[in-house]
This record gives sequence, structure tokens and C-alpha cells, in this order.
Amino acid sequence: MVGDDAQSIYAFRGATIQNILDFEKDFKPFGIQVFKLEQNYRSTDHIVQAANQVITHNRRQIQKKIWSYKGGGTKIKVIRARTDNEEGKRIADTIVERKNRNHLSNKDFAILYRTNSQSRVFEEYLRRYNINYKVFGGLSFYQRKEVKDLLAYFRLAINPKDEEALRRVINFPKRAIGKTTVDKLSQFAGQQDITMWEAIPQVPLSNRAATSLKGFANMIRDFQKIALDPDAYAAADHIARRSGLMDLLRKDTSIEGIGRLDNFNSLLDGVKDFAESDDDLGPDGVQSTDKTLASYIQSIALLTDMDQKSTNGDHVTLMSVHAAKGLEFPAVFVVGLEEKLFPSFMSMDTIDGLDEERRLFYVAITRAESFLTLSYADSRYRYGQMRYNQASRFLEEIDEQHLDVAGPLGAKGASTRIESRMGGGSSQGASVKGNFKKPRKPARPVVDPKNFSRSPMSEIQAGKKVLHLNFGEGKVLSLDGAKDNPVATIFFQGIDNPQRRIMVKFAPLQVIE
Amino acid sequence: MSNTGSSYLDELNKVQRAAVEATEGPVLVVAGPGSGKTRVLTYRIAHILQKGAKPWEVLALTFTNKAAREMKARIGKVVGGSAEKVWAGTFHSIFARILRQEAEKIGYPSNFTIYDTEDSKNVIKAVLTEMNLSTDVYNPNSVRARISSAKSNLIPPALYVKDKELREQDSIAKRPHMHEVYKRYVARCKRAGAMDFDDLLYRLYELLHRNPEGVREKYQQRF
Repeated sequence: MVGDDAQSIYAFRGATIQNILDFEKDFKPFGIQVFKLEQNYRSTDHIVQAANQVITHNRRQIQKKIWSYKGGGTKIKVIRARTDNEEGKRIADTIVERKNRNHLSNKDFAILYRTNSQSRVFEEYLRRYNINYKVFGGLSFYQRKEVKDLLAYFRLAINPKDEEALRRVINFPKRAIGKTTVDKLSQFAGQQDITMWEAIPQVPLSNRAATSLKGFANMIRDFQKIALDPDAYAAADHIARRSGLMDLLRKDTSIEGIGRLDNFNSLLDGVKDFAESDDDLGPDGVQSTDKTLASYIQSIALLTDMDQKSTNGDHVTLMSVHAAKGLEFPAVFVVGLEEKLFPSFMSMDTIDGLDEERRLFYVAITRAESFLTLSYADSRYRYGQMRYNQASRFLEEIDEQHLDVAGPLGAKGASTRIESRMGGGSSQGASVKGNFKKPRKPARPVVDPKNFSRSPMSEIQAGKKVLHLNFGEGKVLSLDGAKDNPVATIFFQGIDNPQRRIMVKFAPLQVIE
Repeated sequence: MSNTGSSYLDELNKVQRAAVEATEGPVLVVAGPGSGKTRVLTYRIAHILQKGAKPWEVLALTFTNKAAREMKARIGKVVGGSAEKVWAGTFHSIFARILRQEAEKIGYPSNFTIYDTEDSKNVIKAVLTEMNLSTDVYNPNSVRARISSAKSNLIPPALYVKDKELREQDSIAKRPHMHEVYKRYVARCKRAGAMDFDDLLYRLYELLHRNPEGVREKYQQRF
């Protein structure tokens, strides 16, 4: 087993840190040998040391000290922006500067964020500066409607019992199988405990509906036969035409329609590629000599957006930290380093959650080879509202000898803080850890009442994220009390005594997630 | 094989080399970022092949497709074309491949469909409609996460319904019928000949655990 407990960031997909921590224990009786690789060939020393410092704040870990093969290098640059918009501009400025000064090209840069929705401002400025970029994540190719429609026909050709595929295309393109017919079919199948496909020849229907259904079933049976063809492309092309999908897309000559036809065709190209390629390696890296449609479907079913062959163009990479695991870039920007955003609001109220966020931050900064920039904004629009946040605690966990907080791009108001952090000219006296913190949260409501719309009582449920007019963002932990007068226990990150008991009936609460 | 002795070992540092050469018994390599994890793994496989193992006797599981592809390419550089026959892939894709061959032993067709997240959610919605439960309380995303977490912890519906702690949590969350939703969800998927992403892991566990027709020994001997 080869792994790094400090980079375990996919607990939500079952890959918990415990797997690594237990491995040694579980295999002790079998004479396990443990090797630690601590020499880092990727990053310069400031980056490596910062990573070491950050991870020591986690409780459970296998002790190891990484050291850099490359030596010192450039200090980690910290950018404090007033707004998310300014953050976007200053990152774009820094890219321009580094391109000129350090002779880097677009592909050497990556902007990493905690949530995909943060990409917008960076996209705006990169576009404005005419810098090529590519956003990874978001809606994947295989999630697009026209692609999923065709895939649903493929799936039915292989397994007609596939209920979700059947529902998706039974009347698409339209073939006079209305909602009533589908409902009857579904109900009948439920009563008989059979699949909808099996129910088609049995369900009692009007002649007209029965004829339409029969036509559909015959078509799928035809597809089942062609799917046995050893050449996946022959089958795919046949299905694309005979299903009526291709004609339907060709008729739409709008710009969006042409885009959809393009996607549709590039799926078919993908099948062709698969069927004709000499190497027996499927897109998932597993070897196969089987070139049928079934084999193709299997190979793409487990692909994600990240697995598409990346266009090797010269572009700046924008992606979530999760997606960046395993990658490296000469220059990396880790942005949005604010409390509630990174660490995420969703995970920061438990120690395990916070540790996982810290490992995520560790993964983020260790993607950088030579230049690492960390940025945060004092205020940011989220859910349509202006929010004020403090700088992320992770920034404080890095020793200042590795940081370059000043610099020509320093924001207004940031200078005093920087001086105090550097131990010079501060009126606050001795440097206090925690200087990254914003002065203090505003006493006024953090939420602009103009944008606030109160949610009905029934929507306030355990697990929901809510906005309180006076307390700001919070998470509903539990609900109790009488049914007509429930009391919610809510955890508000931004206030003292964050856990509050609130009568839902009277509270100005808006559900935001 | 196109290799010239053990020159590839010279490209490794001391610890890396020790990890590559320790081919007997279980080995844990704890490796920092950029310290050559993939390098050690690929050279280790190459080394095992050089020592006489057949490529199809080697199984390498990774978390991402990208890592699997990269590893194969690198093994190929050391040992040549036979690297293609190494079983290297993600947990999900290798498990799916084993399940294709063995699915009928646990009551699935070999041509089973893999349901993606959206499919799963649609199945959940259909179950909720059937049971007359509100999607506000039984938010399909939350229900899916709950089912996924049960499967990841190897708790099938039959055990879920008997688990006091889980039932208590559901009742606090105002979702007392969660166990029934779970049960019907599983039944629907099975009827449709479909596995969701969690099933690929759970059903393989089930296969090896129940061990029909000595399937466990078959794979133990193979790798």
C-alpha cells in the first residue's frame, strides 16, 4: 500500500484516513514493512516547510518530516484583497507579472479553490487580460443532456431492464407515449413486481397507446441485436440514427443547437476511437480486447470530467483543490482563504471535519513547485449577499519566515497588519499570532435586509444552512419542541456563543442550502 | 522484455529502492507529496515482473483513472509491452470488471447497468412518490448520502432496520421511514439490473464474503 495520510481528502467517498492508519496495525501479524518517503522532489523549501507546519495541527497522523531536494526558493506570497472581485484582479495581475519576470507560460499556472462557484471572478479577469484558461469540473461532458440521451439508448440496448434509461427516452424523441401511458406502465410494473420493460407487452392500454409502445419495444429489440456487433461504432451509429436523436438535433440550427449536435457527434467520435484503437487499454486504464458497445459503456461509466484527455493547450488551469490531487504546477494560487469558505462552513464544526479541511489545504499548497500564492478577500458575495469573513486559520499556521506578506501589490489597510506581523511599527506591541484576523465583526446585522427573504417555518429542518438576519450564516443542528412551535438549535459561525436555541416561529430565518 | 539488468534501480534514492526491493509480505509506503509515490509503485511492479511474475498476476488499485493510466505507461517504459496485461485501474473499474464476470453468482445479470448519481436520485424520487413521502423532508440528496454511507459501512437494509442508533438518528431528522426507502431503493436497482457507485464496492465485498463457488480462492490465487 502506497499513500499519504496527510493527503487523505476523499472521506466522503469512503476513502477515509483510517484506512491508512489501520493498515499498519492490521498487517502487523504478517510482518509488515513500513517505508517513509520524506524527500520532496517537487517543491522548494519554503513551500515544503509551510506544509509541514500546517499538518502538525492535525491530531491523527503518521509522523514524517518532508524536506526539499530543491532548497529555498521564493517565499510564499500572501494577497489580501478587499473584495472577491479585487482578489480576481490581483491574481490575474500576478499571473501577468510572473509570466514576464519568471518566463512562465499559461500552462504553468493553476488557480485552486474550495468550491467550483469561485471560478467566476477569475474567469472574468483572465478573459479581460486575454489569458487562455480552462475550467475543470462543473458540468462534465458525460452529464450533458444530448450525451446522456444517446447513452440511455446504448444502455437500453445492453440492458433493457434499466429503468432510468427507459424513463429517459421512452418518449424522447416524441413518439406518442404520453405521461398517462408511462404512469400506467410504471404502476402496472410496480403491482406485478416486474420492470417496466417486462410490463410493456402485458399492460392493458388503449389501442393507440399500445401501438406506440409496441413500436418502441421493437426498436429497442432491434438495438439489442445490433449491440452484439463486435464493432461498437457500427452499433452506436445505427442507434444514433434510428432512435431519431440525430435528426432531431440536426433540425435545431440555433447556436445552442449546433453546440448540442457537436457534443452528440463527439460522443460518437469517442466510440469510434474506442472501437478502432489498437491499444487494448480502455479510457479507464483497464485492458480489454472486447470492442462491443457493452464494453464501451462499461469503460465510460466510471469516468469523471478530470479523466477526459486534457487538451494540451497553453492555458491556465482553474479547478477545485479536490480535483488537483496528484497534479503539480510551477505556480499555484490557492484562493479564498477565509474562515467558512476554506475551511468550509460545512466541515468546520467538527474536529474530524476540520482535520480533513486542513489536509485539503496541505494538498493544495504542495501542488506548487516554485511559486505559491495564497489569497483572501475581506468581503465576498455569496448567495447573493455581501459577507464579511476573517482570514483562514490555515494562514496563521504557517510561520512568517516563509511568507511574503508585503510586496508592491499590498492592499490598502493591509499594511498596518503586515507591519505588526513582521514585528515593526505596530501599535499593538509584540506580534500576536492571529494578526490575520479582521479587526472585529461588524456590530450591525451582517445581512442586508433588502436581500433577505424569510423562509416558511416548514422549511427549517435539521441539516439546513440558514441565514439569520442578526446572527448571519448558521447550520441547523436539530429541531425539537411542539410541532406548531418548534425550537431549533442552530450553530452560527460568526458570533460569540455560536450555538443558539431559537424559536422558529419568531426568528427571521432564510434557508440557503 | 527489453530491459538491461537492474539499471532502473539506480534511478531511485535509498528508501525508494528499499521499498521497491521488499517484494515479500505486506509493505506500507507512507510518502509525502512529490516524494515519488507513483515512481515507487511503478518500479515495484516492474521489479516484481522482472523477478518472474506474470503480468496478469499483478493487481494494482488506484483512486483515479489518471493515476492508473500513468502507472501503466511508466511500467511499460521499464518492462515493455507486457505491462498492458497488468490489472491496473481504479477500485471502481477493477471491481466492476470482476463483477461483470461473477455478477450472476450474487443475483445480478452480467450486463448490469451502472447508475450514476442522477440515476440514483431519480430512483429515490420514484420510491418517495410511491411511498407518499415529501421530498422536502426526505430531500433526495440527503437520502442518497444516507444510503451511500450505509453501503460504505457495509450495512444492508436488513441490518439497517435493526440498528437502533441509525433509526434514532433518522427519527431525530424526522425521517422515520428511511429504512423502508433504503430497502425499496435497493430492490428497485436490483430489479433493473443496476448497481450504483457504492454497489461496485459493496457487491464485491458481498461476493468475496459469501464466497459462492470458491470465488474468493480464485482471485486469491490469481494475484
